[in-house]
Formats: sequence, structure tokens, C-alpha cells
Amino acid sequence: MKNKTLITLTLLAINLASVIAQPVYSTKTGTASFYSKAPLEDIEATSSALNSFINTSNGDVVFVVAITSFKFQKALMQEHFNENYMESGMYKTATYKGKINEPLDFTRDGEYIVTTTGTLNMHGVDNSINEKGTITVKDGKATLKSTFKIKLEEYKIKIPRVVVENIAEVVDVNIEAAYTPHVIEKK
Amino acid sequence: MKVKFFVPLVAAVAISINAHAQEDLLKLAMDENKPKNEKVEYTFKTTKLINAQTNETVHKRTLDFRVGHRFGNIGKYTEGKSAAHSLYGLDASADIRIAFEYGITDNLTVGISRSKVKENLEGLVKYRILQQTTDNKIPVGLTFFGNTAFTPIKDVLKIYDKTSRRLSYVAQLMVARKFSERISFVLLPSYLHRNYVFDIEDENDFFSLGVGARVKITKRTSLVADYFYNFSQYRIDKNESYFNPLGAGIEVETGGHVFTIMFSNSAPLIENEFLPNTTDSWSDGGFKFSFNISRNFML
Repeated sequence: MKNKTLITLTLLAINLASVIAQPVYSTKTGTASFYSKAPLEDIEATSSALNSFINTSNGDVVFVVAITSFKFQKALMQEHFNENYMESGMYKTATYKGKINEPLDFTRDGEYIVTTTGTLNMHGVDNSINEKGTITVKDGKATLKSTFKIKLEEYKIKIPRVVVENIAEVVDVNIEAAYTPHVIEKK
Repeated sequence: MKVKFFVPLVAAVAISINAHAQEDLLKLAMDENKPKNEKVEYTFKTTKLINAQTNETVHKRTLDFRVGHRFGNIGKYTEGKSAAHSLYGLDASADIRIAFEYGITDNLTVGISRSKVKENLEGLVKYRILQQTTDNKIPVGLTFFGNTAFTPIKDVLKIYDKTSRRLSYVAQLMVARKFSERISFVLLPSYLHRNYVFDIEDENDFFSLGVGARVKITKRTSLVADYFYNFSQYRIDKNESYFNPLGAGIEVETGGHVFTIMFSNSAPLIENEFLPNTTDSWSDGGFKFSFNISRNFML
């Protein structure tokens, strides 16, 4: 009886340890930026508080960015972005939850082209998006870059007719994140 | 036998942990992204409600050009004409105010204005002292408003023998709280000083307490209202001729413009005049149609 318990506990411990010691990489200071090109106005905003995790053992990847962390050149644009379009008081973050389809090895230097399958949640709407990116590994650090397009309509972000000339219906998004091995912080 | 039973159990536990890994990662990322003491922004859409200031200031390097217009009485005589003959006050202009307000920083606004009533020229300053935070460590926003108004009108009554008599001052605090995305309140302890008052019994100084609210009905449309109670014995005694200003209206934002369409019993548009000199009452039809346009220019 004691033996069995011991075996069980040992196995459990090994399993838990493997979960905790998963080769997880993270960043808190990734950048997410977007660019809207419309006939009357070009709009650009950047957040440098993109939070991301990659589990290299199974390819799990997540991104979280607070909507209010996007900075615009003009304060009034930022106000309208938060108040009228993203409704950041209600929908505080944009999140991406997905899987990198290719096997990852962050211990070997090189440049990898990867694809992801996952769900982007923004403005309270879920959309599955599959995008391409590149991961550059150098000296145990990995940098992910990705560029993709977002259709505002798909996230129920409505553009009033009067500003149709000012805001693009499809917005270019740029992601850049430099990962380091994740250290679990003690609280 | 029993070992064989435990192994799958352990495996199941391990699998379930792995299956949750993606969710766990997301949870981890969300936890790290929790706002700590983020500032509460956009308590109000613009710097004024109806008559009351809000705690909002003009953004840095932005010029807020404001035009306010108040028509005549809707339900009673205006400028000697009956309500119907002045098209319910639309023929009259009780007050017109043109103002330029500029954000030196996000917290400091300076401005100038000119009004029709007594041709008042106003210099104003607004300073945000505290901003409400999401963790409620600072539960309210606090902004100071101060102005000086100078009336350059012709001295027909020979009362302005000293130029200083033409000056009046207002100091006001806006204590504001955004209760939810839809509902914001502001309390306005106010102090008015007039260097000269016409009636010897009138007070040169008195306190007022204002209260204002905004209820958002859509992303761009809100109901707004405000009220001031004057702690002025002179006005309380003469409650047949002096009233407390009460206003209500709708505020519409169209991207760069904020339109306010409103009704108020006060005729003047600046504090120095509407606090002491609101001489019409809602109850006898002495309320007026009024609008304000605010247009922001990024400089």
C-alpha cells in the first residue's frame, strides 16, 4: 500500500515538475502596432506592453495587450479609439490564443518561418485567425515577428459614414516580441 | 493490480494539466496584464456640461474652440415680445459666448472668452489636481477652475468710477467620479466674488454648490444635467426674482465636435453671471433653448 502511494506520488511529482519546467518563454515588452491608411488620414498607434508566452514543447502561444496601452500621436484620436471604437472600458484587452504548428527548438540558433492556428479576441468578438510569422533564435533568445491584416467589420467595430474617408476598413497589424525563458515570479 | 489502476489515473491527471496549459498560459498573461492603478479617463466628453464645468481639461497642444448660444425664453416674454411672437425665444439671443481654450499640458488649460452679457471678457485657468484610479486608491478626480471676468460696457449709470469695479472672480473645484462606463457625477463647490454689486444689500461674495451628471445612452450620445444652489441670503430672500440655475440636455459627439443641445433657466453662459443673475424660473416658462459647439484643433 505504501509502495503504491509512493509510486503514485512520485509519478505525480514528475508530471507536475514537467509541467512547471515546461520550456516556456515569455515577454512583457513586446510591441503591437497598427496602421490605418485612408484617403484623408493615416492613423498609427503602438503599444509596447504586449504580453506573450510560448510553450516550446507543444507550441502553445498566447498574446495579451491592454487596449488602453496603445499610444497615438494625437490625444483626441486616442480618446476616440478607446471611447468610440474599441470601447476599452468594456473590452479591456485583445487576446490571441493559439498553437504554432511547426516544432520549436529555442536552443538552436536560426530563423524559422512558422504558422499559427488560433483565436483572436478583440472588442468582445472571437475570430479564428491563422497567420504566418518568423522566429529568429539567437543565444537562447527568440524574436517573433508577424504582420497581418484585421478587418474591423469582423470585430463589430463600426465606422460611421462621416469618417469613412478617415479610417481604413482593413488595418495592418505588426507584432514584434523578444522572448526570454520564463521565470515564475514569487509573490 | 492496484498499481495498474493508479498509473492511468496519474496519466489522466497529467493529461488534464497539459490540456489546460494553453488556458494556463493565457491566465498567466492576463494576470500580468492586470491594470494596477490605471487612471480613469474620459469621465466626461468635454470640459463643460450645461452650465457646470467638468473635471476634464483640454488635451496637450489642443485648442478647443467653443461657441455657446442661448436663445430667449420659451414659455414667456422675451425682449418685450410674447413667446409666440419671438418664436419661443428663437428670435432672441440671451447670451452668446465665444471661447478659445488651450491645453498647455494634459492637466493645465488656459483660455479666453467673450460673452454678450455685459460684454464680459474672461480669462480662465483649469488645472487637474487628481485623477481617479481604477483601483479606487484615488476614488475621485479633482480639478480646479478659476477665472476673472472684466466687463467693458459703457458706464451709462456712472457706477464704474474705478476700473476694478468691473472685475469679478470665480474659484471652483470639480470633484468628479466615473461610476461606470455610462454614469459620471461631478460636485462643484464654488466661490464667487464680485468687486461691485448694484444693490447695496447684495453680497459681493457667496458660495454655491453645483452638481452635474452624465448618463451615456449610446457610444456617442449622453443625457446631461446640472444644478447650482446659491448660499446667498440675498437671493434666498428675493426668491421671486432670483433662481438657482438648472440645465438639462443632450450631448452628441461626432469625432472632433461635441454638440450640446440643452435647456436652462439661466440666461448668461459664464459662472460670474449665471450664478448671481439667473432671474427666470423653469416653472413659469423662463427656460431657454441653448446649444454649444466644441471643436478641437490639434496644433
